[in-house]
Amino acid sequence: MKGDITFFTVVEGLLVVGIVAYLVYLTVYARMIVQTIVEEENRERNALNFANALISHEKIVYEKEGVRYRGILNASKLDKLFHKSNDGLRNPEEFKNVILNPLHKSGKLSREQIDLGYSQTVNIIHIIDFDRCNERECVVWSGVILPVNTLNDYTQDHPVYKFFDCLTRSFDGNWLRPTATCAGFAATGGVIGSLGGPIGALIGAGAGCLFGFLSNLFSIAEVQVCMDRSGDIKNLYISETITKRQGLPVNIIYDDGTIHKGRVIVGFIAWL
Amino acid sequence: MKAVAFLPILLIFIAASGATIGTFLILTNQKNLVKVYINIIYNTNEPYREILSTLFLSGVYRTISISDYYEIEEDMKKFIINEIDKTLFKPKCFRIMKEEKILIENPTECKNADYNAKIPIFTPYNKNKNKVEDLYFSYIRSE
Repeated sequence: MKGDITFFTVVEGLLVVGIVAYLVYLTVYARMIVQTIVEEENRERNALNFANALISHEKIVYEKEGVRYRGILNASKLDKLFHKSNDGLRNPEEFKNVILNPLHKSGKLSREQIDLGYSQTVNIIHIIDFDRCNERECVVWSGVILPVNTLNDYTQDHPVYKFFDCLTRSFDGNWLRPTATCAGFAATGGVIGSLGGPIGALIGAGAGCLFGFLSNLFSIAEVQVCMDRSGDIKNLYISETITKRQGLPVNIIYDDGTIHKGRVIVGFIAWL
Repeated sequence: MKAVAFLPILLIFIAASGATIGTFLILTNQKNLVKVYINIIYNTNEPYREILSTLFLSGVYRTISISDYYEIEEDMKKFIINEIDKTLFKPKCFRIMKEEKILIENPTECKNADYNAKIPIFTPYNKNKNKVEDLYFSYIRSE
């Protein structure tokens, strides 16, 4: 009878379903190509490359009988090149006046002082002597490598000068903000926790710091205002190498021959 | 009868489907491209630098070099652990191995470490002779 479900009706139905499924497979999945694109984060990579180059630089490494010892830094050379803080920059005023203030020349480095650096980038360097870092003292050498040939080029007209000058003026010395916003700080404890101040906050900061260094010392609005005032600084990028506690373990050798362990931490601020 | 009638219909249907699919593929010749982006922040050579800087400290290289003949003293182990904890910000765990032998592990059972380094180390072999062995350093960073 018409409308009866026979064996062949079922087979026909199954065939149709199978062919439709096969059609879908051919048109969609069989011709799907998965292309994997691996991209490196160039800007972070640049910071790490910079750190690796820095620990080999003749201006800071230990030399003996004409041999330069990579990763072994000469404390006397560091004294000459960088600003040395015996207090780990715990004092907010010191951090403000040394690192941020463009008028303070100690620790500010041009290409003349050290021929390393990327264009349109400011490198901030901290070298910490962990064997001389405790509750009483914390030896840190700090420097800011500027994208200028000589420090004479670092004038009030320079956009980086304007930017840092603006940040200096809006600085409130409140370490609680970066500390509070960096969730990892409390967890680090021990030596790192005892550092306090900006270094402690920077190093101690873990994944909780989304915007990294400056944006935790300053509000996003403050940074934006200073970018606008600088004129040429657009699309500011602050590397995460500081807040992610990147950088490299090194040795620091003193004139009396004692060798300490330390760490070079390099961060940078880049703009387009 | 039904089976005989069904067969040509099936063949026609399959032929029609094949022609349709083939025409469709030839005409379009499109590929469905799925892009998978993997963003990599390359590691520093932190593990390599860490073990090198530790070996450079007084007595560490020598102690590890002769560890096949003299067990590393507890004070030296504590010293090395303390130094590594300082510069690696208290890693979850780390392990130093020479060839197959675990020299220092803190705490125990430090497996599946994501940071690794392998460096050559001179060890005394025979009178006035040295051989080169592999020193392995691995750790898991604290977050």
